[in-house]
Amino acid sequence: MKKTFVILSTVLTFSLFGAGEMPNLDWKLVNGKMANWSGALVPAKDGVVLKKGISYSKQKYLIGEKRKVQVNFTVQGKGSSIGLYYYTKPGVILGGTQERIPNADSLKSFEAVFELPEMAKKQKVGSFRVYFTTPENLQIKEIKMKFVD
Amino acid sequence: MRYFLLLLLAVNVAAAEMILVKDGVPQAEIVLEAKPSKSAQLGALELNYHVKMITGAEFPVKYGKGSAGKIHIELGGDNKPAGKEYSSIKFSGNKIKIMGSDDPDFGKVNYKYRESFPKRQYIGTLFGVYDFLEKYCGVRWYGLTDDATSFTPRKTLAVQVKDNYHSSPTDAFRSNHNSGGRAKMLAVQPYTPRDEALMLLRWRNVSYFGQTNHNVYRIYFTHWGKAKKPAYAALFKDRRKHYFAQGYDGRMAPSDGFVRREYPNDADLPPGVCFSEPGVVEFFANQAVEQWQGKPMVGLPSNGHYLKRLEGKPFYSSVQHQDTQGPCSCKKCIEAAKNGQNHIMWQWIADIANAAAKKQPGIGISTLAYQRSLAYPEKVKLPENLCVQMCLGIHAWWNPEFYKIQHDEIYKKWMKNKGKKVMTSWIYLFSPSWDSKTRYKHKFFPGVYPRHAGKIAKEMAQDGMRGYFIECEWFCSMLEAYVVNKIFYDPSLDPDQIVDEFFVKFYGKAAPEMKAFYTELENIYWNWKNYPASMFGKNSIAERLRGHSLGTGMLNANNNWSIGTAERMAKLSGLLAAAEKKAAGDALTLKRIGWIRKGYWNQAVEGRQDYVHRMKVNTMPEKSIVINRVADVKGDPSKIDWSKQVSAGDCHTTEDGTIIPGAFSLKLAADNEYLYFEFVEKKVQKDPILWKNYFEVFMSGKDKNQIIQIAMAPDTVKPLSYKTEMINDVLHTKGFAFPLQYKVLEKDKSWHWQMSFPISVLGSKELRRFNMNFRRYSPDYKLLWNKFFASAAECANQMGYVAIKGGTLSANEKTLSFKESRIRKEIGTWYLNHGTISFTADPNTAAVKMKAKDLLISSEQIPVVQGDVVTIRWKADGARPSCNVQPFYGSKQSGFKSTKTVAKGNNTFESTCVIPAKATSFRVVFSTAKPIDFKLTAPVITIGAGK
Repeated sequence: MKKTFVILSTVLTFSLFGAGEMPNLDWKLVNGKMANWSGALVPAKDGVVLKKGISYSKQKYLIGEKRKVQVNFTVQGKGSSIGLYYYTKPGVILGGTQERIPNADSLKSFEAVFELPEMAKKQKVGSFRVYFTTPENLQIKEIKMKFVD
Repeated sequence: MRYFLLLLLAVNVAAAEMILVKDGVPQAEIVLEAKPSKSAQLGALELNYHVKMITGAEFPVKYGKGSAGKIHIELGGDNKPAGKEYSSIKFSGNKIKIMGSDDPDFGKVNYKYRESFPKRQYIGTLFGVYDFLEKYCGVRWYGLTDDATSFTPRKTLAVQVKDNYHSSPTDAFRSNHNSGGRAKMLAVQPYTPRDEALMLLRWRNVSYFGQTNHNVYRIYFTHWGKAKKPAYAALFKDRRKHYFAQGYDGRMAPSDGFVRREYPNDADLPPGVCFSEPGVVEFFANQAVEQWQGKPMVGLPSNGHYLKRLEGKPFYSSVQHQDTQGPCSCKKCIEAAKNGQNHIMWQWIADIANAAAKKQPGIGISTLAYQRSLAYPEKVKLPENLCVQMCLGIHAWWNPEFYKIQHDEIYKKWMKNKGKKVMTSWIYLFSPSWDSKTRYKHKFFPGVYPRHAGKIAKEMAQDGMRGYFIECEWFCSMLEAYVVNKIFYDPSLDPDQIVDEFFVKFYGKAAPEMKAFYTELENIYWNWKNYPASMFGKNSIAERLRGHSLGTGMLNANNNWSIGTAERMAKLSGLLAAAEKKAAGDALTLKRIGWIRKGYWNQAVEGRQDYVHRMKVNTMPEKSIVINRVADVKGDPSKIDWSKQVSAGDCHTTEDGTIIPGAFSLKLAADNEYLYFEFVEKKVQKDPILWKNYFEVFMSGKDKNQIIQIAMAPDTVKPLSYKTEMINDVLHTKGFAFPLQYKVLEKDKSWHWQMSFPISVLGSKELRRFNMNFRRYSPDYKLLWNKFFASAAECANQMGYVAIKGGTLSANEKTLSFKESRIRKEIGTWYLNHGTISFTADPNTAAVKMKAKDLLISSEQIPVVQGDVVTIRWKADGARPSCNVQPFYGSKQSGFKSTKTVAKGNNTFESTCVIPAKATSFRVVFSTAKPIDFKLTAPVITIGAGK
C-alpha cells in the first residue's frame, strides 16, 4: 500500500514538469524550511535569496544515456557561481564542475550546459546535483534543468 | 543422593590433574609410533624442549610402546589427511593422546636443522603439542627466541585432565613475513633462521591453497625474449609482443625485479601483460592446468614453488600481475579502460578462471585485490572459482576516513558479494616505521595497536576470511602480529584478554608500567584527533589513498611527529624508566623492556630532537637561483665564460645548519639544449674516493616522481648517474645512462670540474625550472644546499629551485582571447568583481563596463619563471584601465604587481613587468578607481628572458 502511494506520487510529480525536466527544484517550504534546497535561502518576492555560501539541490539526479545537462536560471547578484557535483550511483561524491555567473544588477536569465564525465576517480559517475555559490545575496528567481543530447 | 554423587564425580573429574613431572622427576614418557611422522617427531622434540625449560626434566622418548607404570604421552597417529586440518588432545587412564592430521612424511627430524622440519601443511600432531603447551602448561611464544617465550618455572608440572579438539576455520593459509626489518630485528634481538622457522610453526603457520603474490613472469620468458638465466631462457618459444602491454617501447619502464633482472638492458620491456589479448588468457589457463597436474613450474618466483593440489582441499592457480603494472594502450584495452583499470583487471582474471575451469573442472584462480584492483568490480561477473586475497593496510585504519574507504566501502562490499568465492587477506601490519623507512627517512614516533589489530582480525575471521598473510616489521610490531595470529587460529579468543595476559606474562613485576606504556602509545597513535586537521576533510589524505592498498604514505615526518609531542614523549619515557626500575635485578624482564628501548624508543627520543632541529632548519629560506641562458655551446662546458655565471651560493652543515661561507663554488648555466655545471673547491683533497669524499646532486624536472642523481669524487673518471622512482612503496633506483660530459680540471690541490648534460634528461628540452639539491661530503665537512636531506626518495620534497632565464618557448606569444563559457553567449575567460563583460560583433573585442574599484581578471594562468620579462600588448577603445600582473606561487597568490605601461598610439598600450622571485605563473588583471566603459581587444602576452 505504502509502495503504491510512493509510485503514484512520483508519477504525479513528473507530470507537473515539462518534457525531460527534472523535478524538485522549486522553492517549496515544508515546516518553514526549504524542501528541495540546502543553505541560507530566504524567500523573496521573486524566488529566493541565497544570503551567503552554498545552496545545493537536495535531490541527486540519476544519469541515464544522456550526459549533457542544460540549466536555465534567472538570477541577480555578483561574484556568484553555478555548478554540478557528481556522484556514484549510490551517492559517493566524485567531483564537481563550476562556472562563474556573470554579474547582473537586475534579474537576468542564463542558459548553461554542463557535460558530465563518464568516470571520475576511477569510478562511474551515476548521479549529480546542482548548486549555487555566492559571496553575498544572490537572488534566484527560477531554475530548470533537463538532459540534452 | 545418587545425582549428588554423580555431580561430585563430575566435579572431581573436571578438576582432576595429571602430574607429568614431580619435584623435577619425569612421571611420563613420550610414546611415538615405530615409524613416526615428522610432525610427531618435532612435536616430541618441542614438548621436551619446553618441559625442560619449565621443570629442568625431560621425558624419555619411546617408540611403539611405552613402559609400564608410566604416564604415556602418545604423539601422532593420523597420517592420512583428508582435507581437514585438526589437532586433538585426549585423556584416558594414564594416557594423553595428542594427534592430528599429519602428512605421511616420515623423514628424520634433526632439531638443530630447520631444513629437516616438516613443511607447513598437515602437521596436526605438532599443533596439538603447541595447543598442549599453551593451554595446559601455560607457555606463550611472544617472539623469536627463548627469551621471548613465557612460562612459569616450576619443579612439578601438573596438567588438567580435559580433552581438547581444535580445527582452525582459517583453513587456506596462515602466514607471516618480516618485511625488510630483518637487519633492525637482528640488531635488537639476534635470531637465527631456525628461530624464525620455529616461531612460525608455534604460531601455527601453514599454507594449503590460495596464497598469492606477483608471479606473471613465465609469460615473459616464454613469449617476450630469451631470459638471461639459462633455465628461464630454455622456456622461450617465440616472440609475441602483442601479449604484453603496449606503449612502452624505448621507455625503460620500471618492471618487477624478477623480470628486469632477466632483461636488464631491454628498453622496450613492458611492465605488464595485455589484459585484452585472448592468447594471454589462454597462457595462464594452460599454466593453471599444468599446476593442477603438478608439473614443474620453472620461471615462477621462489624457485618455481607453487601450492600443489591437496586431497580434499580446493585448488587455485595463482595469477597476479606485476607490481609495477602499467596500463596497456592497445585499442581494446583503451576501450575497456573506459570502465576503469579495476574493471579490465578483474575481467582478465574472470576470463582466465572461466577458461581454466573449462579445460579442467575443479580448477580455481587465486589473485590479489590490490591497488587498482582492490575495489569490488561492480560490472564484472566474477566466477565462483576465485580465491581473492584482499590487500588491506589496517595499520592506517586509525584514520576514520581511510577506515570508511577500506573497511566500509571496499572490505564489506567484497565480503557481502563473496558468494562461494574464497576470501583471504594480505594484511599490512605496519607502523610509522614503514613510512619513515620508505619515504621520509627520519626517525619516527612509534605507533602500536595490538588491541585494534586483534579486533579487526576477529571481525575478518568471523566474516569468513579463510587465510591471512601478515606483512610487518617485527622489531616494532611483533605484539600486533602475535595477537592477529592467535585470533585467526582461534577466532573465539578475546583480543583484549590476549593483550592483558601478555603484559602479566611477559613483563612480570613491570607489567603495570608496560601496560600503561603500551596503552598510552596505542591511544595516541589510534586517535585521529591527535593528528593535524589538514589531513582530513576536503582533499583528505585518505581520499588520495583511495586506490592504495597499503595505506602507506599516510604519514610524513611532520604529521607523525605532530602526535609525538614533547609532553607525550616525557610521559612515555617516564613509564619506560619506571618499568625498568621495577624490573631491577630481573635480567630477563630488563632485556625484554630493552627490546622496546633499543628497538624503537631510543630512536624516538633522538627523533624528537632531530624534529626540533629540522623545524629550525625549515625556517631557513628555501634556496632559489635564476641561471643564465647562454649562447649554444653544444654541451661543451669549457666554452662557457664561468666568471659571468650564477653561483648556487653557500651551503650549511647537516649537523646543526650552520652556514659555511665560501666552502666551494658551484655555478650553473644553460643554453637551449644543455645544462652546465662548474665546481671549484680550493683545498687539498683527502681520501678522494667515492662515498668518502664526494659531491652529489639530485634533480627533479617535469615529473616530480622521478629523481635524477649524479655523484662523483675527485678521482672519478665517469660520474655515477641514477634514476629513482617510487612505485607501490618499492623504491626503484637504477643506473641511468645519458650523455654526460664530465671533465676534471684539477683534483689534488683543489677539486675543479665541469659537467654538462641535455636538459631533456629532466623531462623536456623546453624545461625552464627544475628542483635541485646537492650535498658535499668530505672528511672535513658534510654540507647541504637546501634545508635537509633524508634520501633520494624524499629529497624531491626537500629541494631548492632553479630557474633558467629565457630560452625557446613553445608558445612565445599568447593571446588572452574571449571565449564562451558553459553559460551560453557569456564570456568565460574573463570576469569582473562588480561590472560586466560581453561579446561584441568582433570576436577579438569585448565590451567592458567597470564599476568603481573594479577588477577585470583573466582566468588563465600563464607559467613563468622568476626574472622573466612579461610584455602585455592591449587596446582599450574608450576609457583606459590600469594593467597589472597577479603572480602565483604554486597555488598561492599574493597581491598585484603594477606594470610599466607605455602608450603606443591608436589606443594601444604596452605594459611590462619582471616576474618576482619564486613566482610560477601569473594572470593579467585590469583595474580602475572610477566607473569606466571601454572596448577591450584581446591582450597579447610575450614572455622574454630577463637581463
